[in-house]
Amino acid sequence: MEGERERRASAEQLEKELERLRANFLEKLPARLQALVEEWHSLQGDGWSQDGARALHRSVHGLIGTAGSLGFAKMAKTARRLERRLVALLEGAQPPNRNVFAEVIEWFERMGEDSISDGDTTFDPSSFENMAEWGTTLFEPRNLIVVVEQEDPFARELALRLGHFGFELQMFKKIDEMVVGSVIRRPAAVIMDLSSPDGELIGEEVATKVRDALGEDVPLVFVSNRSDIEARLDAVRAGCSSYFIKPVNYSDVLETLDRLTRSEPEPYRILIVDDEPDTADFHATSLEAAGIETVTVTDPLDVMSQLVEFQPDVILMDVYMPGCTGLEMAMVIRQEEAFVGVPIVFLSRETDRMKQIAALGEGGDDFFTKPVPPDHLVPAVSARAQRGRTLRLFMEKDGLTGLFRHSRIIEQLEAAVRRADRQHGRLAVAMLDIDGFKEVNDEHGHLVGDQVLKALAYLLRQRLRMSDVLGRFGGDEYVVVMPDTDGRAALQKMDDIRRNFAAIDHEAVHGSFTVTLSCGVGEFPAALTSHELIAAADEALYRAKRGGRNQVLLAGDPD
Amino acid sequence: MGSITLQRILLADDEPDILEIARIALETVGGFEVSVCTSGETLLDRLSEFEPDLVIVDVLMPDMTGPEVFEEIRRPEFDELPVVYLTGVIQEEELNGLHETGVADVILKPFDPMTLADRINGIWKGRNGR
Repeated sequence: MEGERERRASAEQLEKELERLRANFLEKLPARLQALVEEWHSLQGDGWSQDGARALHRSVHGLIGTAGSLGFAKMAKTARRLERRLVALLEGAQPPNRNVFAEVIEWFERMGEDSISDGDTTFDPSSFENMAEWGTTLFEPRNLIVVVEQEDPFARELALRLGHFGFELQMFKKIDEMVVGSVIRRPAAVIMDLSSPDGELIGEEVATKVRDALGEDVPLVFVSNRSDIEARLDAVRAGCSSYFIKPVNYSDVLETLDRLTRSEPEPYRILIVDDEPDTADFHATSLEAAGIETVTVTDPLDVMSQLVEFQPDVILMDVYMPGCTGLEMAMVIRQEEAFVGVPIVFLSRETDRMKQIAALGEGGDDFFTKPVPPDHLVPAVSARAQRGRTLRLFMEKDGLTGLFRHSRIIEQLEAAVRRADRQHGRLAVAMLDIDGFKEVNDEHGHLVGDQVLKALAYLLRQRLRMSDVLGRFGGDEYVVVMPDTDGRAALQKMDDIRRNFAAIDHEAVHGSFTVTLSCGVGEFPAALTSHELIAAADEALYRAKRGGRNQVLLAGDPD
Repeated sequence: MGSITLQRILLADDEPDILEIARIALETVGGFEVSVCTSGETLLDRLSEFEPDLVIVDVLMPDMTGPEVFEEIRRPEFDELPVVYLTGVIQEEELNGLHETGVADVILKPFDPMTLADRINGIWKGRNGR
């Protein structure tokens, strides 16, 4: 008895001490994370060093143990995922690019958020089971949408509908409740009801308050009960991105949010073909300093394989090379249909204007005399890359859903297979098909059918990673290429998406309806080529359909 | 050294927070006398003065790693002083590798402060009960 009482007393004593340590830890955490973010910033660009990254890794590693032992399981898991990311960077030969830098900073921010939202700090060992696998789960920072809406039913409806698409919502009843610090992280958009009982125009006033609380460039979406031009003008002057009149059409709201939350453009990719390593280096360094990714090829015979794998926006090519001239190379490149549109810029020590013009005749887009000074090279290359991308967008993307078209997704898949093959990595391909889509069209008309197709595209974009490639294979069939992902993980992710999709209410003239989807997943290296991967996913999809639809199956698994 | 009940524990980890959590947990619940240090070198320096019954050492430390500390402690003058690793490493192969070095046990971080003292007691009894 005595022993038991003593035990309990000491447990209580320890709990009290832990409470103190937790408070202490939370108090110091923001400064600690801030210091780590600064350390990470100093590693950016030229500051990159393996030693610096290793020191940062050790700090993050330490945080896992401390946060977890104090019971902040959520934060410990986030730190663990960040650790995995850092380890991968340490193993890589190249310093990380801008996207990766931004991603790591996001992880640090999430850690801070997680420490606050971890309500129950009782240590639960099951929180830490399978910890080794945490890092490989598909991390998705959900897009946060802040909603300021006094009217309860509308707010609830909005939360429900947006929730199905993977948005995270934070609701406020009044604008004044949304002050600095009350919003959990930087939102992708703020939806704000401007309706006021006496019909006042409050757009500018409201917009100022939002910007004071959340920063200058947060997109604003206004909802109002006024449809007159005066009210719309007020909203435009307040700088809103979109304006909806109540009762709102939810698919329009979704389309707007989808547009506002599209991922940031990737850095431009430039392929440098030059047999003089020093000149190539000079150009690569100038471009990379401006955040542009480069790959250098010194042997012209390697150009074709790099084209497929690196998918450059612009090719910077030396005219005089041993083995084959730049002009000949350009002709070869232009013979490949996939690369007809890639701008080629010739470089030469040549100042003879006539020879330059001849080069342009062979499919070159411009001619620079080398070495090209950085302040000329960077804007010239960026402008061409930009134009090339816009053109490609029209050629490659499906107009309705904004996803890649058939031929393009196959190319992307082939590049992904090559990468997985070389790095002995993983790769999964999922094929999705909407169940009974023909009936939807027959019953509700093609416009409603198109809404369903778009809804699935929005959902895929919200729920999948930036590195996943999404395509519409035609009709109601979609393809997702997921690099660094095994079949099991892909199956889980797609099953999540299947459940989400089934919960979405689609609006039609005579009320709303729901639809389901079926999906098949193929994985590398069980299937070794793009052709085999598609066939494997297709076979699994066929079995999913035949087995009763509304399910996701992995190729090779029993039904 | 060689006492039947576990009394004195020497603990090393380069992370001050985790050191504090472990120390308080071992003192409050286990009633042990605990001495802490933030590096393997300091731990080795303090061995003869503090005369611990058991040593707990973090595996991943910047200058001297846990296994390096263990290598030193294995020398005859320390006479089978039990060493427990504390580690955040959770890959199965690495974990097996740590066990194979011959340490008394490996405790994973994060750990539950409430049961840490019991676990250390269990490790101690397991060794002395043979």
